[in-house]
Amino acid sequence: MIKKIIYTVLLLVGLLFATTGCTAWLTIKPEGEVVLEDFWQSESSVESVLASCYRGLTEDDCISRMIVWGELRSDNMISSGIASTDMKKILDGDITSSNSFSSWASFYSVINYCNTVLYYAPSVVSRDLNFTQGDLRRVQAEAKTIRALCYFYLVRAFKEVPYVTIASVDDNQNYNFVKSTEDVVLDSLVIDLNAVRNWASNDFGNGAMNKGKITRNAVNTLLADIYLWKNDYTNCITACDRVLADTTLKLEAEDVVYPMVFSAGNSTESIFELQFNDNVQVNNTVRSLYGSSDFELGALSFPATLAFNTNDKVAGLYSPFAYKVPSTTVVEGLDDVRAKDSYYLYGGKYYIYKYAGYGRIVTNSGVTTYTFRNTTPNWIIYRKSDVILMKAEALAQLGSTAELKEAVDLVNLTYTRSNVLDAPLDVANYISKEEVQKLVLRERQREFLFEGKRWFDLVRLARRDGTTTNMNMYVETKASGAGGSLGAPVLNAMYMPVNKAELEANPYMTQNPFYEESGSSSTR
Amino acid sequence: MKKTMKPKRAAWMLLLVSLMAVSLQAQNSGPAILVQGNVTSSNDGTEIIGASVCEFDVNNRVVSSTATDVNGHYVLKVKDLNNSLNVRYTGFSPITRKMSGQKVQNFTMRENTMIAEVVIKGVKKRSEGGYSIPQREVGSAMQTLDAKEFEGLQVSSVDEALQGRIAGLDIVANSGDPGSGSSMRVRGATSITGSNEPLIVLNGIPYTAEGAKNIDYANANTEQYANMLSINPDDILEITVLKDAAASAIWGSKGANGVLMITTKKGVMGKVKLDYSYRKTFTKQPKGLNMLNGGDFTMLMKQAYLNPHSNDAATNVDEYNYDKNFVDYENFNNNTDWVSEVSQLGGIDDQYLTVSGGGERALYRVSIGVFDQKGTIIGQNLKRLSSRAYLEYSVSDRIKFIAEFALTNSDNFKNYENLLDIAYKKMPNVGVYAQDSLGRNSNIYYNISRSSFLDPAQRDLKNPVALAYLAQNEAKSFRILPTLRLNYDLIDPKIATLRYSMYVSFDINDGVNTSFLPQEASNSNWPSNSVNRSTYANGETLTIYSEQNLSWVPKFENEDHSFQLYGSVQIQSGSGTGQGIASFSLPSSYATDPSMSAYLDAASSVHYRSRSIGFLGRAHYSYKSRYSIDGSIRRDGTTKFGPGRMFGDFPGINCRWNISDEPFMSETKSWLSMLSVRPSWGISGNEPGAEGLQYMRYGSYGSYLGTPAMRPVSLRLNGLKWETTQMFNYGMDLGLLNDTYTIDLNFYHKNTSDLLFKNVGTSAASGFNGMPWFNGGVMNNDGWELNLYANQFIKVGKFSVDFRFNLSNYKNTLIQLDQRLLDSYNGKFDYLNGSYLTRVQENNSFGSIYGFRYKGVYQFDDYVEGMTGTAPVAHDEFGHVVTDQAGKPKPMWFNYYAKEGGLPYKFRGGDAIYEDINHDGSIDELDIVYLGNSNPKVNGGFGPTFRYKNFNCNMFFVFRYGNKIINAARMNAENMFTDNNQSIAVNWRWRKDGDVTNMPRALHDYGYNWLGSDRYVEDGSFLRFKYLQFAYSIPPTILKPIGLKKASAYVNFNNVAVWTKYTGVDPEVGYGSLNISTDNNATPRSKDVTIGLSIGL
Repeated sequence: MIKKIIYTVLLLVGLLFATTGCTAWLTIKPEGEVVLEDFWQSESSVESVLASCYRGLTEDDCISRMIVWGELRSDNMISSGIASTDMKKILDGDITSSNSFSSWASFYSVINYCNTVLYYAPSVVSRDLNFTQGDLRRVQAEAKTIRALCYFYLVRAFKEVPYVTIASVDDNQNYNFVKSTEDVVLDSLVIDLNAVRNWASNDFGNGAMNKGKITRNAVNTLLADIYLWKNDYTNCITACDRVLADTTLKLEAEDVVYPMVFSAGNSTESIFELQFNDNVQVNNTVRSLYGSSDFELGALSFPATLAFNTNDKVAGLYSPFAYKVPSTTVVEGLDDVRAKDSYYLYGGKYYIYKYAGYGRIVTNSGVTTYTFRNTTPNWIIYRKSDVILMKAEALAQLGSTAELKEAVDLVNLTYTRSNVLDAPLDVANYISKEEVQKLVLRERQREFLFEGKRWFDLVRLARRDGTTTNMNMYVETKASGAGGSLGAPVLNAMYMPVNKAELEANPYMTQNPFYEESGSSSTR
Repeated sequence: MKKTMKPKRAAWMLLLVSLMAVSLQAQNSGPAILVQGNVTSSNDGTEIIGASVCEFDVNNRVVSSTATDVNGHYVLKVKDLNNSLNVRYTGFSPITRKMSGQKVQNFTMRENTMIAEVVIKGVKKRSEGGYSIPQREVGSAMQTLDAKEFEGLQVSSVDEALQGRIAGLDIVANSGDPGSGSSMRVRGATSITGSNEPLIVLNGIPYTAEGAKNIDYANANTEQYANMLSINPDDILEITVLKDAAASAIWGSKGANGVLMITTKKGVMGKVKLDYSYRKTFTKQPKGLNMLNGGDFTMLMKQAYLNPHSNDAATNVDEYNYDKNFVDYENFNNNTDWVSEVSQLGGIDDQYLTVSGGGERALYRVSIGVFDQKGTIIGQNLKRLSSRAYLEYSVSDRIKFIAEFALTNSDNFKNYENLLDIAYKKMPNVGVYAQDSLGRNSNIYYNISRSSFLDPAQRDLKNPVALAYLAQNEAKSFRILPTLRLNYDLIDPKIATLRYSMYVSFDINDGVNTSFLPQEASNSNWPSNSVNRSTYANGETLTIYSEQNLSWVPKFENEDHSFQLYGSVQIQSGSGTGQGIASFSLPSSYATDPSMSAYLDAASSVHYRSRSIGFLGRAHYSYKSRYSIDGSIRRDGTTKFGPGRMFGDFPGINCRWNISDEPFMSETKSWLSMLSVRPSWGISGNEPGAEGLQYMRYGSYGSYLGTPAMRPVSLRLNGLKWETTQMFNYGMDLGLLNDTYTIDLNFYHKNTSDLLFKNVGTSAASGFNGMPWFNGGVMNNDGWELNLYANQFIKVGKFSVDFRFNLSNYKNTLIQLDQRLLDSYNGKFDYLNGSYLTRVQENNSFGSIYGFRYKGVYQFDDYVEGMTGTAPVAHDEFGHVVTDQAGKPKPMWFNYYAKEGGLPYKFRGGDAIYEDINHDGSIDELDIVYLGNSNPKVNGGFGPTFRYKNFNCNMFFVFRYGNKIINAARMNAENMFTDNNQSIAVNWRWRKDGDVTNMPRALHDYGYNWLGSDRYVEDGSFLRFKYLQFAYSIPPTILKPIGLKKASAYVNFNNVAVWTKYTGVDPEVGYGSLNISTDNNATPRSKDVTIGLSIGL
């Protein structure tokens, strides 16, 4: 009896340790998510991850960096008193690696989505017959262009960044990236973009799609922008010409620029703009920095020293509007509509109106009221004026008489549409190559106020100059008398430091030269 | 051949139980025999109506039954005339008689007016996991707390009752807010970023709501242990803490942080017993920091604005000017004590009712508790309804069914934000209500306008009173735990015990969190995304636990040997879903449903599933109860890891030698009743707190232009494994003078390897923020514990005294850490005020604090040769002033080398002095030193119990010694850096050259006067007189005539006094990140008075 029991017990204990059958029972896949092994079976997986590439760019973290990296340090922006601490520090010239805007994580998230699409999409062609080689090429063009756009932002903000083109999948991969030089990154981008520029779609068959997704025009515009950054003017002009050849791309008429381009969005002159939607994704960054109907006084404002008050015709000392061209009688932009549409005066401060408002209403008696939008605005990355003025900038740099004339003619395209009462600008009033270059820079400032471009324009200037002197002259105009060095003492100081967390997480990461610990205080 | 046998046998075993009922039916088919008779009372011969008559078979299983009619007559169909009949009726002694073939059976029952008191002297047994061994053979480290010890105390959850009671269990309440839970550490922290909370086992079943961790429907916080709240302390019989790995190894992968085993009360044989108790508690919050009044505050702010740049214009801030031309003048000329505005006298009403009883066959106990707590901060209210039912039914002597059912419904009205924290910051010159131009209060709550140029941090502080009354933040939870158990002795227990037992338990958890912030409570305009904001989140989880086990205890001829074998399979399967929705700018403050037409901020849903399986084998052998050895092995499988890493083995072994039982010790037996040594060793584990980590997952990411977006959401973790803890325990027990004094002492060495880390930073260039979980590191914990109990060590007549004392100590040491983690934890100092450098060093304790050394305030601005006061100039290591070539003294700088890109700052008179450790004239990272550790050197508790006749007086003290706390509350109240209110300590600030003080000058948004230094690192040692209880039980002689069985009344004083050098409100501060304790103005523990009454029928 006892023996039998022992036998039974031992048998049961043995049974307990027979674990092979349990492995299957213990394998469950997460619900509500799809595991890699089951993904990438059809066109829908490709399109949905590609949608993430765009969706990632609409994150507040990305849009705020486009503004902070692209414009905050320039002469166009000051705090209206309520900017965040990190922004205030950047405005004070106190930029450290603990500043949250030194984090590049949001852009690399998008880069990783692009890398993921580029790595897995080719395998879908053989699995899903609906997904053709042509579809694949179009997807590759979109993903590579978004990736290039992200890298171009990073290079402009940090100069040297890790160039990662491999999708991050598991913990066996090496994530201790090292930085690549600016040339390596930009040259790779140029090769990538040239390879895919004809693969991109010309027409998605829908207005919003044609502006919200990467088209051939978007690829070429990005290429032009990169060539311009590399001071490769002839290639820049070629790329611009490819865009300008598209006749469907038209500048909006003078009286509807603001309502069509910034209020309604997806205008005829738009090339690529990130699409926001009240129900899906709200552009919180623009709402809080520039303002909206619930919060009319945004965190940033336009310096009084640069503003031109169109009511009493009083201009700040350094205003690009009502600008008197040296040694001539010409005054640019005395009735520039952009000076009315881009900002407005309230309580002694010039608050940003571009993107924040629906549009001005001027009554018959001449009283202007500003109405504010309670819907979310799109964010424009490129529009036709940008291509026109990029080409103008390249021509002004090349500098032959014919080229200078063509540059001024291009400037007139955007200038005259905003100054209908004024005569077109005459190249004869801009006596030197330098004056034309300054004119282009000024026109870009007027045209792209608060569009996240001005600081990069100034960095291009300083890079050509080989010194930050001229750049600082511009930047310091926003300081109302207090002085202080707001620009960059040296060229390397134009770039952001690598974020503290990044340095801690990656032992191979090095700090950007200006912010290295050995940097002595005398350099500032 | 064998292969075909195995499943057959197993199936037979398992089916046996279910076939029982069928086999009963089969027996019914035999010829029915009618037996009849009368039942009368022996007193007066009257017939007894309704007496039950049952037929029992040889195994004492009820075969048939009936009841007597109005004439006391019964007729019963019996199966076998050789069976017995049993007759019972309340108030009479039951009778059992063999029928012996007779078809007429009359019974005469005797009234049981007196039941003789029976004293049973048994062997105290320690039982867990369906396997019980005598206390004196237990070789592992465990300690039991009898619920009697906290009977009558007002505790809302078990952890409060346990505090200070168990040696080696360190409990710190998270805050004094109702239902906020506590952090518990058994023998110190074993994990760095993983969970350190022990496993809770309720009646043998894991209780930690596995799902609740995964379905994080509320915001992720440390309050998961508030789930102890769903156990009513009144239902608890005893709590046992398994401290060493030999004991916790039986819980395998979940046991590394120790195990808390809670046993609830069961029914007891006897007449129906009805017990009711009521407790009323009044709670009061202790006084915290004294804050400035409106006048002192505005004066401070004017200085703070002036000092940085000596610019008069900068001080022209309307809000501080008391200028009648300012439109908001009346709203900024007040004197509000915000702390007292948000504080109130709290209270608890706690009622508890139990019905219990039973006979030989069935036992039952049903309890219901109603708990209602009003917090010490306005707007807080916790309500809880809990109920527990226990029913045990013995079908026969060999088969027993047990059904348990527990239900808890709690509703916690929390504050929308930490009101006390706001109250300490809010400027005192603004009022609670908006005032008109004549200074009259309106009925509108006042919020500082968004267009004010005060610091946004002050400007946007919400009105705490408005938050309490208008905003809503409610957490509801509903938990049901039905459990079914079966015990079946496969062979006659008289021969040997071969018992199959099983349970199935369901843990159904349902939680709803809702919150709403009306526009009236904040200064944001409609439609900002933070106002009229409504959130709704709910989650439900279902966890099924099941265990099948077999235990075998043979009977040996030679009773010196005892042996037990136990094997079990535990299966757990959990699933859950959660949904959340948040929307803002709802059209009205009175419509709080997030599905209203408004801006949708976020909508999310979570699903999770998990499974695990555990196989356990245990054996215990003892010779003469003098030499015992106990071993166990558990194999755990879980869904949390990928192929090849699914299973882990967790062995444990312990021995005990009762030296005092040895013949050579017989001489000392008179005074040394117990002396034993117990070495043990075991391995237990810890798992990551998330599922699906072994997969690269693609999750939904909104949409773009109508195309739904999917993105990779996590890196696939190919290398993740269990965190394993190996522990050696060396214990001894000592019993003196026939166990009047019992002492147990344990020394342990704990080694945790493959430490689990959460969210380990990786280069952001990977596109991910970090590794969600990561193994890398080894940590040791060494410590000892002492526990003493003196049972009636003083006994004079009817007066007696008990005394308990426990003391424990541990030290943890980080042995090794992955380079990646060292790099990410050992960041560079950020050169910002208020931040402490985090540093984790090998061979150092975890929880260490690093910062500058604070040396007071520079008395003078300029250095003058030979001066005695302090001035901001550099000194060399000999204390001489350093001069430049011109002989001019070199000034002291902060961050002279502009490290981390920060701007250098030159110290001035009135600035804080930091010790320049390396004498380089610059205060920077190199001057940061070790300032202490948040781990207590020793902690414990003690208290006597006095008894005299029916009076009882109970006292208990808890203490912690030698731990350091960062007093961030004081830092924020003394920094004079923002527009926040400050404590009155700043009235002693430096104002002019020559002032001798320890409080630096006021600098608004400027300077470095509050760097992370030892100025705010304080000794958190304390001795708390936790409670004082007086109880009186009314003697039965008085109660009998009024029909009561028992009645007692008590008065309790909770948190009577605290002795500490800590300057904050409450030195009991929980562990924060990296195990560092930081005091952030959490609601302090209140001082309570409870009066209670309990009666039994």
